Amino acid sequence: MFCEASRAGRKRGALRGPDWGRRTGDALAGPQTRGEGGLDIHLIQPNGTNLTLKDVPVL
Amino acid sequence: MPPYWGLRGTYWFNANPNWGVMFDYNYTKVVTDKGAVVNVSGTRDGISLGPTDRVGNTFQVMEFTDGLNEFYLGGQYRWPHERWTPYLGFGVGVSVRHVEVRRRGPAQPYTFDYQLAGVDVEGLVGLECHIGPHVSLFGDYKLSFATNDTDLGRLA
Repeated sequence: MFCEASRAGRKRGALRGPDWGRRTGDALAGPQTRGEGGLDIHLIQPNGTNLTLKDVPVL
Repeated sequence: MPPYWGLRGTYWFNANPNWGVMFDYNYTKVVTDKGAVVNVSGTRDGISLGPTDRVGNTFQVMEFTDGLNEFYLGGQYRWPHERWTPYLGFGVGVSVRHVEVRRRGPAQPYTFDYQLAGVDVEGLVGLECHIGPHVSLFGDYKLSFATNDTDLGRLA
């Protein structure tokens, strides 16, 4: 489970909200620890495409 | 394992000593293992990836070492007895993360700042042992859930 990130911001990271304007920076959604220590990372890139990494081990 | 710690203060109501309000703070850290190969889906810079990829191919830095800071305001309920007092608690709050992230690749910005990242909830169950009139030992099990949305590239 992870929460969807805002896809917003006319400046880098300056604005948050649902699909405002044009994003110029990346955003991360929902990195979260689990009992086993894994992390789900959802990377939203400036062009709006997503990359999800599941159960990333943490040190 | 990095140090995890926290602070909690509870005020028990005189009129109703079973109930109290609490402020709770948790400090934890996360450093991703960039050498790990994990399941991935989606695209990175326009290139489809999957089913697995090395974390370090996406992130040069991906950590929250100055803290996953969680602040909670909540309530507790206890069942006082002469020696043992079990209790339950629930809290809602906000998470403040120190985001340290840099994507792999040339000219990628380095994000290194505190951000208000989302909402936290926690629940706990514990047991207190009264040693003296003003001294107790206690232990509790706490489960927390936090949403974390962070923006990257604030600091180029």
